[in-house]
Amino acid sequence: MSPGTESGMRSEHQLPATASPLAGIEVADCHREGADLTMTVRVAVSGDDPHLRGHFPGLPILPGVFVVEALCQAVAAGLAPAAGRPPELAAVRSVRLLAPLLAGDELTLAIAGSARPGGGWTVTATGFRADGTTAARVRADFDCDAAGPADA
Amino acid sequence: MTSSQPQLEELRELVAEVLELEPEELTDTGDFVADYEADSLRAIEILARIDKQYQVEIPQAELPELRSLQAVHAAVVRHTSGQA
Amino acid sequence: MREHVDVRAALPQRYPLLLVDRVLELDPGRSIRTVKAVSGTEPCYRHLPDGAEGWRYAYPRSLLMESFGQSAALLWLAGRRPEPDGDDRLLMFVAARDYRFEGSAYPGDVLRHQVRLDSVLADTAFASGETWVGQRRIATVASLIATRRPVARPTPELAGATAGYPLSKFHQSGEDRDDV
Repeated sequence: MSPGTESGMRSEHQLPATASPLAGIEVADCHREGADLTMTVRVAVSGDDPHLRGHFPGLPILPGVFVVEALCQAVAAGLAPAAGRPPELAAVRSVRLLAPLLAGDELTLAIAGSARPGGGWTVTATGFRADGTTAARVRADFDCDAAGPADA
Repeated sequence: MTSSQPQLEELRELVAEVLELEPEELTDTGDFVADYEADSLRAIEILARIDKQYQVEIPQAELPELRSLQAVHAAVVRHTSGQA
Repeated sequence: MREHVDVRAALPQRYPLLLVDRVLELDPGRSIRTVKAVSGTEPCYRHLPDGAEGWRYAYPRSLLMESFGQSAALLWLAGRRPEPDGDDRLLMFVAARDYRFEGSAYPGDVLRHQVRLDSVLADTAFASGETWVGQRRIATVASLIATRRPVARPTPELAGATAGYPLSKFHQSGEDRDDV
């Protein structure tokens, strides 16, 4: 189930590994080779989504932060070690939300990541609406936590 | 230094950061929209940064003309009062 | 100090995405301090299976951003005159820079956001600040940018109804924002 170094077209629904307001993402493509990662993931925007009933009542709009959330889930799906913690979002260097996604739309996130020499990953992503409009751009850093389990 | 007016090179760093470029990539006359894919939000960000960092207020009406580093610098010079 | 009833009156978000509980301090148009309690009953925890490790309960960092952004929106709104014509606008989070995370929050923690409004230009607000849990700073925000977009404001009586809103107005401004 782990992407490993496989590549190619494949669509799997990935459940979130951690607490999340997004019910899951569709991994359309995932390719990892050494220090490079490329992925394409999709998120459907549904008016029935329990989180969107409050954002906003009568006008479901994908919250901009859910683009960041989708990226986090994608990185977790693409990089999570077999039985460990997924990489953690260390910083959003830049996020720009360029167009809204309404109910019935679908966000496609094209993601490219590279491992940093000192550890962790630098990731850039471009999000598109179903009509092809660029909806978002994100640059983010993820840390790979070497520590053991929970501080909770 | 007694002058609070930012120099061209300081502005280059500021603008480059907003446009997400290396300072070396940002030329004096390069057009933000045509050459660096900037949208209107970036122009507003540049104004906001200049206001925050140098307390120089450039009127929004001048936004459409701020299309190059040179134009930004000229606007800063125009709107910097004689602060010691 | 402003209670949750006041927060609800000011913001159009509703459960489960109204992410500010109380305003502790407010200097309108300048700074605000807000809190949001993290609870295990929130929907973001619902899917976690029994036996999931404690670290999986870290409050989603995306929701930390949303909570901070809503605090910034409250600050911006508090500093403005109310719109006389009732053509209310949605405050939309449009960009952020250098939003850094230093730690996590867990159920039982109370998020405390300290937000400063750095400037407002052309209907666009620039905010910065930090988020704390007790003495622990868990995030620093160099810049969070929000803008106002015209759209019919959801009213309480229509909340949850299937009646639509005039989307065309909103769509137009959405298309304005397309990157060239």
